[in-house]
Amino acid sequence: MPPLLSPLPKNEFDAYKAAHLLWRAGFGGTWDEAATLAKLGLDAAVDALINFPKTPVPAPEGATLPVESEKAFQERVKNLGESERQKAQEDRQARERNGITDLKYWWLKRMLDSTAPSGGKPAPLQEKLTLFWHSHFASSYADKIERTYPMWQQNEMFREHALDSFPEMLKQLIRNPAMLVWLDNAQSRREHPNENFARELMELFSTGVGHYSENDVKAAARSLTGNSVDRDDWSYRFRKDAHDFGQKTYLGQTGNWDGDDVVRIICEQDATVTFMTKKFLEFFVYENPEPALLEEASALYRAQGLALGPFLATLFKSELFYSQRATSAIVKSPVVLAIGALKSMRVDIPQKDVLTNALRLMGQDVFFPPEVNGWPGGMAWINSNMLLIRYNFANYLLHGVSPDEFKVFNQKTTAGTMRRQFVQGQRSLNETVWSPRKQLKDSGMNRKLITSGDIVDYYIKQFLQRPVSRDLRDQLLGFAETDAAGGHKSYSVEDTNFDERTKGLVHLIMSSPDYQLC
Amino acid sequence: MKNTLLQTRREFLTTGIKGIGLLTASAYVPAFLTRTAMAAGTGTDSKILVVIQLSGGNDGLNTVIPFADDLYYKARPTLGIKAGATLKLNDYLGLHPDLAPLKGEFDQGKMAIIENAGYPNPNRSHFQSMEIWHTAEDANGPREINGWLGRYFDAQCQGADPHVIADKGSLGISFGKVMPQAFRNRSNVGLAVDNPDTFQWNASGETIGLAKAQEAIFTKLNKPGAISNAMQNLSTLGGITGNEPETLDFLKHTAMNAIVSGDRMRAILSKKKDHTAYPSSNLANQLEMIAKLIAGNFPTRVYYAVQGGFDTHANQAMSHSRLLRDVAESTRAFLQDLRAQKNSDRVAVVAFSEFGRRVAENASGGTDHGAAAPMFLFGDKIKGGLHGNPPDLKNLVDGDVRHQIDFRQVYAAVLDNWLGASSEKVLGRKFEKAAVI
Repeated sequence: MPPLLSPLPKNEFDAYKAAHLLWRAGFGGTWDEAATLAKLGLDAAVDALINFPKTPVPAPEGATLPVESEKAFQERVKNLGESERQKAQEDRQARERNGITDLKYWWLKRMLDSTAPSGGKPAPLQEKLTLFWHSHFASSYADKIERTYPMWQQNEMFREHALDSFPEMLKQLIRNPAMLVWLDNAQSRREHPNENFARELMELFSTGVGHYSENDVKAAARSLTGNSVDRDDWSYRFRKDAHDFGQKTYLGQTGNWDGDDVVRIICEQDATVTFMTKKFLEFFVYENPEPALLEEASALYRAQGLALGPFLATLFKSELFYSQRATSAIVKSPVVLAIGALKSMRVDIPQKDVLTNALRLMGQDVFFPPEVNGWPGGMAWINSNMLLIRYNFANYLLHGVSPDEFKVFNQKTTAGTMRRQFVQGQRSLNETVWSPRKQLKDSGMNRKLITSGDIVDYYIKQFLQRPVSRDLRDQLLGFAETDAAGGHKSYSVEDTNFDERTKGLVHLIMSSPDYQLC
Repeated sequence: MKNTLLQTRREFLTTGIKGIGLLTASAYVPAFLTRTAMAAGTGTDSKILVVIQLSGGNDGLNTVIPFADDLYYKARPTLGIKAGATLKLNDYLGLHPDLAPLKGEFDQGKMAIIENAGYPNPNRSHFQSMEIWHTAEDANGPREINGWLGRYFDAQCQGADPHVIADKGSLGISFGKVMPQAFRNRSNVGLAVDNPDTFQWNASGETIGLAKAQEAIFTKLNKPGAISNAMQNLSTLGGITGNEPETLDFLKHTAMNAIVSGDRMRAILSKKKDHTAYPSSNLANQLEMIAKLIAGNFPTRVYYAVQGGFDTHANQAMSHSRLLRDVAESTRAFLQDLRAQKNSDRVAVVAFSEFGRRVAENASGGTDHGAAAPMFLFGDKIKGGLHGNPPDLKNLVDGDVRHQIDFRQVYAAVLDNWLGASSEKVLGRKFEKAAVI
């Protein structure tokens, strides 16, 4: 039997497959981008995604604000009265809150602007991997950190090392201030090692459960004592006096281990290779990979010395990656759903607060992962609650109606009020949202879309970017050709209500189960 | 014929549950609804279970405090709650002072404390231990992925229980963004509801008079079996075949379930103003919604609420106080609400956490992951009081409290004596029932 990851025959790489690649290695794109990538050919297309330029990313405003140290803050407020001090504290909190919202927006905008070949723009795979690592090594702004600067610092670390080897990534991680504070290692001391980080480092970040004993957790915790943070400027600091220099036996190896030894030993474990390979397959290819595939991919990852770039190149060039099993097999994460939709619409982020709010409602509030194991992903994105919010999110994108606006419970509001809000929302956002007719005219596409079917097929291609069943197309065409009296009319770019009708059509596409998958 | 979901939904709302037979006439009602509607009951007289999950590992020793045990104060030099500050339950145990709102419940026998609840071979990972509590499976060995309540739902759907519920969607409702694994089941029932306001699909075609047409097509796209999504021309690879149809089917079932149940839920929630005052907290919001649904005769039998934040590795004292105060005030308001609406006889509340915390405090003013801890039961018809002995701090397991009662004995009692199910069937084996309900 040939290897499961044998390459796709080069002549089979078409725009549909390029679109699939863009969804998985990035955040989707326009149909034109897919077509351009297809023209490059499979090898050059994958190369354009993986070998992105390693230029430094300018920091967003807000996150670069010099951090006022706790000491300086206390100094500043020490002579103030109680209420003024309270106010200074609240101001600082508000500044940080605004900072993290700006940071979210900055990152989402990078995702939206990303394209391959990047040509100076953000690289899709780099941002996608940053999102992957952010979920895999989840730290949240909430509760313990509550500062924008360390969250940006961590985000930048994931971005810079996105394609690095796993040992290198872990070495960065055990020195990452946000992580060390988030999992309590910053205050772990040799007298009482805090086990939180040590445990999650194995359970969630590398080997998975069942590959270490409670004694290994204790040994790792002792080895990691001293990896701490200077809370004054949020820099990494090794605290010698807190470190346990004694001998530890960790995963069968005995020595005076420190954090780097823990990383080395973790990366020598077969369990780590398998665990990470499975994570990559589930993120990029499909959930529940077959044992044979997992085995073959693990061997490949090991052979690459746990370096991610060449491993992903093989995946993205494989026939399996483009097979029926892998096509439409992944539930889009809310971030991919939102950014992908904006890319297909070819519009900018309409209102940053509403977008970040909508992402929170859909369950993926970046910089605020819900738990230390990040976002569960896959089918876990879907339940009755999330699915409806996704569908209504489409309504927001198209018409400016935020899902958050539907206040019925605990209020006197009625369906009538909702309708008013709907109309008001539409009016206020009319200038900033999508205008399909203008786009078609500007690009000259309006002359090529003659029949109702042409237009429907065009939007299926822009948004779903894959062949659809006849049934699905017929339903969408049925809507496009319905008139207000319930009769039949043709659908044309020249219709007075073309924009509204098109938004209604795209709302249906985005409210289909099919659109949830990529 | 213009048969839209909108019409179906109106029909549903006006005819109500008792008139559910009418629904079989509509071609647009999901098949699962009509199937179970045949055996519909009113739901107004059946027992209800509310689960409160305290996520993160609640510090049991600082919740029910063994103030007469010197070992407690030795292990907790800074975090120990002074005997005088506790709310005495007897001459050995006292409640954390912030649980004051619940003291009256305890004194009247309407709160049960089940000491040292846990399971053999305790797992100290949040996710593993939570999974054990949710699935009611052993710590070691193969684990069923479906939850203990999900398996109860499955048993209901097979008609094994005489108290059949009106539709599958409303068998269980959990508040929060994600469905708890405890609800996971074969029949794809149960709802996760974060905000009932957003629990509907809003057509956008109304400005051009196309809302109805759009809604009709939306229904077809999302109704299981209404249209075919099958594609022919995709390549397959030796031995590995596609699974897209199952995924799409799952999405469709989820959508239909949500839309029909959401309309009914909102109809109840928006109807009347509640008179009981609830504190302002996430948990209180969840419990208030549950109380309203119960008052509105919603046919759900199992509700699930979640309160997070109990993973107190550092600087625990303040945050734990705040959490316990919230739990106590919210639960007390809920119980009072149920009494006011005369439903307190048919509701039981069970509160649990995935583990307790280590006996010895750590150097960060917190506590690390531990093992056994108290479980709580509330309600007018439960067997209140203290169950089991105080934690034995002389006889620890790896520095943690040893379990004396298996939490599944509590589940068994709830399933058999409260929900009228067969715990042996649901849990897959026989557990000796705890005498708590």
